[in-house]
Amino acid sequence: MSSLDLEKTNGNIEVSQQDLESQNKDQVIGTIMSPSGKPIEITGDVDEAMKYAIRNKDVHVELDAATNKRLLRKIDCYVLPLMGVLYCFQFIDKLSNSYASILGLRTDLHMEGTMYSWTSTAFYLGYLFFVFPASYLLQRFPVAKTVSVFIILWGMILCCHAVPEYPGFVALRTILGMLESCVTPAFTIITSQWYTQDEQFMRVTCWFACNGFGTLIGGAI
Amino acid sequence: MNQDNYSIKAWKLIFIVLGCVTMFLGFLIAAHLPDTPAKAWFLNEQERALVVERIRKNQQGFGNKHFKKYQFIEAISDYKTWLLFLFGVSTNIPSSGMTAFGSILLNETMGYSVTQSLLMGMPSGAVELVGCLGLAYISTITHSRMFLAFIGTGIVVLAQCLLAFGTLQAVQMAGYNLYAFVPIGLICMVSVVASNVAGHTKKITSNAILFMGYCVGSLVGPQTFVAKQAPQYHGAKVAILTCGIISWFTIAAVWYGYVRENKKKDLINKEDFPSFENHEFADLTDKENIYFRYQT
Repeated sequence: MSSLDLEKTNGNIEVSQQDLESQNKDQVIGTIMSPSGKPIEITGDVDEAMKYAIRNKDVHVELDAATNKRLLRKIDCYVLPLMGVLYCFQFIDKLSNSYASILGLRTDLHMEGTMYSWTSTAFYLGYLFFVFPASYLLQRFPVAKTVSVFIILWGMILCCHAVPEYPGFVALRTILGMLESCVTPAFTIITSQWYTQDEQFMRVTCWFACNGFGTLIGGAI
Repeated sequence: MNQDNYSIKAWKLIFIVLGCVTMFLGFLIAAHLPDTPAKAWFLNEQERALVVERIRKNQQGFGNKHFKKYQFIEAISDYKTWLLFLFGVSTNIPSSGMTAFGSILLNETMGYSVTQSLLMGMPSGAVELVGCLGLAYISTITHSRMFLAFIGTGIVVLAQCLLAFGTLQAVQMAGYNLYAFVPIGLICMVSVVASNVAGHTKKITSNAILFMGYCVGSLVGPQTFVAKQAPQYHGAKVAILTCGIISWFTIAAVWYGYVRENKKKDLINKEDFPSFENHEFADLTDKENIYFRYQT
């Protein structure tokens, strides 16, 4: 980019409400430069939060420390517990397979040798191949609604585990892996939507460490 | 008729009960968790506006709905993405191996009885919970998550050494319980994706690659325990320790990378760049945004 071009764009760039509503999302609003000197064209295809930021500018919202603390507490109370419970259940679900194996799953489905370990391999193969498509779906569609659809399907598949013979069981474990692959990406997105960067490590730990509850509960049973 | 027609097998019941609870949780999430904070039913109008201002300093917003190819390419050509992948593989080879063979290690290798083994496994759940939350809590005071993840993973490597080289039962047991610190590394890397990878497409791509590594680790891990090597499982112990050291190294490498890139950004004179109102919410990647700073 020549210095002349840069001068042309050196004004104040601002994305307006009209730009966001415009049909032509590729319309260039202005050009900025990356730290490495690469020109970046700004279009109306920005973050979902932009429209709220534009609206906030008119009403002058101020965030003082006390309000921030109160709001953070409220977010913690409403957002984190459900995520923790779900993570705990995801872990219990992993344990359920090994409990079932002790309670007659292996004999009823006539599993021998490595046949049982294949149920876990199938799960991670499903997870491995679906984690990227799942992430794409989470981007394309509303995060919470999408992850809840995945979780409801996952519950249904879990119920179906009671029905089939061995090949069907392995197929169900694969589908289960596919469905569960969306949980962590969704939770990562939700955490970054709600919390500031220095709050995120603690919050990820809160929902992630609920695995530990799963181990404790599992051990107690 | 026989009794089987009327009663259901215990293992089938487990799956049905868990499945129903999971479905219920799914409906609960749909009703309770909003798709973006601006739509939260539990916040009032003013709080919804404040949530946006709160995360402004993240240099990121709620997300962007379109898959941007250039961000995908930036993600797969960023060396840090592949460090995340390497971390996922190297942390989960030992983890999944230990999950699958943990009670066998206690029982066969360390010589505890079956009941003892089950009871001995329990403290590690508590160590996991208290240890990880403790380290994360310290990080809120010191503002240094990479350092604490480095310490936590260091403890894990120590635990692996005790397991591999310890000859006394008590030493091996200490190693087994200290190993429960292991999630702290993965937690740190997930939080790194949340905080330090900006640009929504870049973020979801990096996260997917991290968890692909995690799956590869899960698939390989149990294979390191070769039946022929029972009960000492030397091969598995070597694999566990090697992978532990690699994952420790990747945390240090990611940490160093962020510190170095922050230093580079500090040298930039921001006055030379055109000003851009609300640039925080323009879905810029961490590399594109001169104001973006990595959390270390």
